[in-house]
Amino acid sequence: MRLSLAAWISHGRVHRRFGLGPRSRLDLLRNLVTGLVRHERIEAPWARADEMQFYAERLIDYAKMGDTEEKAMRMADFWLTEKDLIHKLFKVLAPRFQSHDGNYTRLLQIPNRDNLDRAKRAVIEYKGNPLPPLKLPRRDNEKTLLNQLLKGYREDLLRARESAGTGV
Amino acid sequence: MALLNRQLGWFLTHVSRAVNQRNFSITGVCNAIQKQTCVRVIDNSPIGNTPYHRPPKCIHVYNKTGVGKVGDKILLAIKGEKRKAIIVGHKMPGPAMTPRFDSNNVVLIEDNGNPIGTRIKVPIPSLLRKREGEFSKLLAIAQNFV
Amino acid sequence: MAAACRRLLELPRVNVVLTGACSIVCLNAKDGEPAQFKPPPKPVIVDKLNPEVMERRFLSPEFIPPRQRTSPFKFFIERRDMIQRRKVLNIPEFYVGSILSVTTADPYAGGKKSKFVGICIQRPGKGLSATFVLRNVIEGQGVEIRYELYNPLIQEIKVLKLEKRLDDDLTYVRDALPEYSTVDVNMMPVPYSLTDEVPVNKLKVIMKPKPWLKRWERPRFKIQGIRFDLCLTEENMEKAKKWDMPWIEFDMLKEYDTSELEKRIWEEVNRELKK
Repeated sequence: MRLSLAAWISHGRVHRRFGLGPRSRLDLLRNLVTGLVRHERIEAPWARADEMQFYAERLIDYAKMGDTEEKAMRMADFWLTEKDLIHKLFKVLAPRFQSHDGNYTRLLQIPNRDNLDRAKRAVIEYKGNPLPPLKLPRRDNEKTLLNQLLKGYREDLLRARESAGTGV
Repeated sequence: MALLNRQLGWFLTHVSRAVNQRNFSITGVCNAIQKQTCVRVIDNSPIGNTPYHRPPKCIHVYNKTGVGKVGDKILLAIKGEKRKAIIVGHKMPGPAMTPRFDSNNVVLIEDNGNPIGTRIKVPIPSLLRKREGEFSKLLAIAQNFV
Repeated sequence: MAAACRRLLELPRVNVVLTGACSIVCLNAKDGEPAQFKPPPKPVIVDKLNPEVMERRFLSPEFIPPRQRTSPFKFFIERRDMIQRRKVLNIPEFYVGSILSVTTADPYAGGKKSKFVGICIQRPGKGLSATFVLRNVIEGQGVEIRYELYNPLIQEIKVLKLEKRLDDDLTYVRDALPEYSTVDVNMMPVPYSLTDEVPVNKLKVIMKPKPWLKRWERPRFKIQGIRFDLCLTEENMEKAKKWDMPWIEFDMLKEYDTSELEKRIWEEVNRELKK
């Protein structure tokens, strides 16, 4: 679990509990990581996505060690339940993040689930994916009436200050 | 027949003592000496070394907490008699730099404080020498200190 | 560590090789003609010490802080105190399984000091509170003493035999036959090399019958040094595997890579010790 706030007191808890036990927790996260590697962007409950972000990033770290490394291969074999993705991990994702140093994923909150339980939802993605970007670029609102009036007011102020300065 | 039985009993107790002290212990491993703790008599007194079908057992600890540590006096049930003894080492780890033994060791004493035996071969903690005045006779018959 | 510097000074052994010219001169002199005295050729000094063979790097394990949320500043201050102590007392390199003799100040003993020889079975604790446990069997009685490494009562720590065992924790020798923890009190120190790898003693111990301190056959202890085939059946070993957790090695949250940290602390400690 990430420590989002410095003041957040964990009382010794380092991870969330999911499923039926430690084994089940890893299995659950494993399926999510596999889905993320396949689709590069998935939607999940916020807690699960947050928990899985750490594992998804460390998996890339291992992949960057190269496919000749035995430890990296074992890790990939465990974390990717669909074995055809191992090739994608080492040949597509690892070269993409070769220049990066951490921060391979992006976690964004999306509106709560509205049909069932209002659970907090999130979308998690690997950076540099071919999908359309999640964050919309800010609309250019330079031309609205309010902004134009404010701009004119600011220019008036500046002009008044300059004339006062030259007058003295 | 009686001789054979006695010999067999002697053999059994000594063998089991040599192989494992814990075979007939009923207390936990990491406890100091309290009531019902089986102990091992390490001096050469005849009462402590003759075999008996029941191991010596602590039935009272003479202090306020009821948990005996090194140097405390206890009351033993040994061979159907009540005898007093002094604890000279226990299984429970004490503070650092003090020895921990593999068995709960005691030395039998009379009511006036003199040890019954005449020799202690097993090492006893050197910590006892701090209370030299109390245990002078016990320390005099000890041969090894750790 | 102070001794380590001293060792470095002693290390460069210089081998002197005399060339064969000397004997030829002697042969000439036997022919009768009183040959003029020729000064013997200068000895050629060959330094056989390979510069690449350095002394074994050893950072005592208590220098590496445990993985927790305690402020690193605490460990920094503790390290300073530990180095101060190491400048006064020579704390040698030793491992679990080595045989040590420790001399401590004891105001009540004759000679005001007491000595204990035993095999090191544990090294618990980090920082200034690091300890090690010595075990020996004296007169058939198992005795263990837990020494604090940086306790001012300790006067001398001597390594009588430097070796490792198959496990990092030898607590199971309490349940093994007493001969495996018996050490001669008057043992002579076995010389050891400062450059080679530390020898690993691949001894496997034979255990007493079953009521043990812990169920050593359980996978979480990861014990290599017990002859399980003598005391347990195949069925027992199969049952113990129920507690195996094979997924734990893939949980990246549990990894604690100390190599970088170790390098930094090693440099810091060496710099401070040379001051």
